[in-house]
Amino acid sequence: MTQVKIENIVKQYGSVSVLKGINLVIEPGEFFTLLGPSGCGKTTLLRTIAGFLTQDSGAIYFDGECIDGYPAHKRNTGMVFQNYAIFPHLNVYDNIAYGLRNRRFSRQGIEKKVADAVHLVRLDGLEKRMPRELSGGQQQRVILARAMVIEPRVLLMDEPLSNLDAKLRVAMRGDIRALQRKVGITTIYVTHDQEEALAISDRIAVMDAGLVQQIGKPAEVYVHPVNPFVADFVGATNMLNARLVKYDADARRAWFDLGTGSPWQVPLASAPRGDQLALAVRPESLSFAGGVSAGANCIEAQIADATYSGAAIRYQVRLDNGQILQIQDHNPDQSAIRQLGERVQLVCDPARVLVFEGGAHGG
Amino acid sequence: MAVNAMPLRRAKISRYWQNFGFWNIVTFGAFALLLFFLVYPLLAVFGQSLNSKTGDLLEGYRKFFSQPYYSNSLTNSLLVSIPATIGSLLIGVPLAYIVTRYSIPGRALIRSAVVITLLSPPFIGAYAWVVMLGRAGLVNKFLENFGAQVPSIYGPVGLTFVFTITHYPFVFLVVSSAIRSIDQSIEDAARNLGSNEIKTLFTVILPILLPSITAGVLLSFMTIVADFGTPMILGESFRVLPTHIYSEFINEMGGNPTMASAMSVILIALCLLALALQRYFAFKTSYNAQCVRPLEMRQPHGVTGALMIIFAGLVIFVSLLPIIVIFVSSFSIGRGSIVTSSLSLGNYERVLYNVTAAITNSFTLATISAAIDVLLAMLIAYVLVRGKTRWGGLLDSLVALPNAIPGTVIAVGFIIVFNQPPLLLTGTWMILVVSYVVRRLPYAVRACVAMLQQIDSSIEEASVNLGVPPMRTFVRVVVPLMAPAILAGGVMTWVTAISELSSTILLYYGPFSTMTVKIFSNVFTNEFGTASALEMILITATFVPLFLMYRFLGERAEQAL
Repeated sequence: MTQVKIENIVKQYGSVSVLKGINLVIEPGEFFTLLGPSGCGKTTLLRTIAGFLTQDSGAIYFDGECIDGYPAHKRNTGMVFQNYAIFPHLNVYDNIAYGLRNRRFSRQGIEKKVADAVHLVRLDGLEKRMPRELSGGQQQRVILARAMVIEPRVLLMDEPLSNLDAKLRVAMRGDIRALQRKVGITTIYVTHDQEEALAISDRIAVMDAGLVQQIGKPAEVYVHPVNPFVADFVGATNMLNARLVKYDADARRAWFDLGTGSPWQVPLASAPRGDQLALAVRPESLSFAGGVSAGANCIEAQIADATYSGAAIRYQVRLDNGQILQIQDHNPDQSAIRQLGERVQLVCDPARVLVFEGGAHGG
Repeated sequence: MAVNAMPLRRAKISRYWQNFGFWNIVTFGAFALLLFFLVYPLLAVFGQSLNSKTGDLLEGYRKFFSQPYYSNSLTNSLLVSIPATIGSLLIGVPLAYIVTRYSIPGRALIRSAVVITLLSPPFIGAYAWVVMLGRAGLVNKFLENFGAQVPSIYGPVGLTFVFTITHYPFVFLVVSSAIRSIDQSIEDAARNLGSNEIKTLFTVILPILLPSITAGVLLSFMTIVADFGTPMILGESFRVLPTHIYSEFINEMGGNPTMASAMSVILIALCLLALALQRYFAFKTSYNAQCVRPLEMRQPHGVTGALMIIFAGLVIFVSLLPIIVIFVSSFSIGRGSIVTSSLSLGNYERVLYNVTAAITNSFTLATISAAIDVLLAMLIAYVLVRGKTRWGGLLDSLVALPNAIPGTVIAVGFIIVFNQPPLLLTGTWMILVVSYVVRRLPYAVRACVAMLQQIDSSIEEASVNLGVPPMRTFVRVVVPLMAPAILAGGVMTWVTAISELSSTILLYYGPFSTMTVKIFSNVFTNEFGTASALEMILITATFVPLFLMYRFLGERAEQAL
């Protein structure tokens, strides 16, 4: 198991900075995800670790050894590509054996290792098949076996599931995670799918605009996002512009004016700076107040739209100041489904409100 | 930062040598080859055209345009090329549409016949028509019994006819591949918006095809205007640019090298203009990007259906007739006239015994050229597609240039340049190989480029990632994946090299004469029987590899053309 240390990596294309000083330490055996929107630099970072790109400055260490001097083919990283990059002219067996053949193993050694790898990814009996005779999921497993059989120091995965359909994607990510735990290999996984990242990772680095915005366990990133970008990118979030009315330092409690309805009370460890603030509220932290009007942290609204998805129903509601909020209602009773245009009272769990300095971007 | 400054720099330097060093050498070599064996001879031709004793640099050109003896060959060239190009348009486009859209009987046969026509040397077609309609022709003799006369196959009319029937395949192939890249949804949309079948054809399908049609037509014009063998056999006193250049150049008494060069420059200008336009229009076709569901096949029915089948049948019959005639006459006895009742293998015996060297030469030269071309094309294509050089655009244009250079002209250039030390190539077999390699390089490169563009570079990265160094990755992953293109490019080079006449006739030297040269001289001495036997050997030598290529590659083979 290898520890990967990324130190101050900077990469520019002409005048465009793609990576603006990335620092990460990925622990041995960890499943670490780089999460971010397209163009955030996550794939560039992964390709730099693999050696396909050279950073302008900074260094990468595997177990304390600087690997920058090694070309891509000597780094011993196993990469899983977005579009599979399966060798179309080789069958399953030869695809998996490809990396081993270059390493001067004995014939028996290769046969044994390939057989183990085939078994590990459950492709037994398909060794002689050509790639075009395999389903998407099977091709994915060939690639996984091909990358793992060379016993790389680090497994690098570049959006490996993006070409699969939704059901298979969920099944495959479970497989990948189980496999990674079994082998215990340090893994760096790139994705733009926040749900996938939350489900699969030990830790996540949320990236935007060439910078790491936050590093943490999935629950930390979801529950305690450090800035509005992370709050918005990881899970859906309602952003409300708010003005600080007062802060009670003894009770560690703040009151905010939302420009509509009565002020909200939010527990807060320290006084926020400035008085233009943004409150972030997850759709599942809002609920309908059962008829009781004007309670604490209540707000009046009108149902604007509803999306029914079986296990839950998501409403869009319009506040009196015109702003649209999202609310998630789990296990809705059929009789409790709200009608369009219906006026409702919303109540918010104050413990789950996040306060960011500097106002919301847009709405 | 200070700690890792060293390894980083070392990495950059070592990677530079490992990955880019080799490809820089390839780029440099490709440029050197093309500059030395293509640009330099052409410049020499241009230089010689300015050479005059009176000190008037443009004397040659002035003379060309003022004396009908010279200017007539330009007029003549245009006089047959333009109608023949229009003819190939009028045959090629409808035939492509019928064969690609209607399930008429024998479609596979029609396609093969078109490819056969494209790849048999045009002068073989010309010669076969002489056998049929020439002075001692089969048909003429037959009709004379009834006192009837057929129009002469010699001169401009016959030339136009033969050019049309040998060059429509260029239009056909370009257009039919364009038709196959139109998505059915385009036609459905037009029909859905209220256009009927005819209106859809004229307002949607043909406009989409227009850039391809134009490109095909220009390609056809370019090869007609550069063709040497056909006008040599059928032209007689009607001289076009390539034949006039040839006679001016080889004529030891009263030949005029300055005039030959000036005419070469004018011929190149004509071809370059067509090539530039062709590349422009070919580039414009890139808008039909994705075809998920090709146009549906239709059943031919009614009078229109019958007319289509008759049209296609007629075109194919006329295209294949020369081969049938040559086949029959290769078994006939005697010299001169073909009409005999008994058949024999005498011609083949004579040919195999007397011109063994020419046959061996043809096979050897074609094989060496194809091997060299394939190797070069593979490397050049990789440099171009993977952006291994910043001179890619220039290299790309330079590689396409030989397409526009008539064989006669390049031969003239080679003789001017390689006639003296340090590189005395005239009179060796190497000069033939060099001319084939340079002239056929565009085919092979294009085939490899098209293939390589379909190979995602992440496949190479996967190999490198698994520990295989870049050069070994090229050999173990890229080369096997390019195999179809390498095969197609090799076959194309081989087939066109073995049937090459226009530069061979100027560059060959006694012991290194080829089959095409022998055929040509036999035709002029009226030894039709042996000429036909040689042609059958040549035709077989072209068809067998093509047939094998189609067996291995199927539809992909046609893309390589």
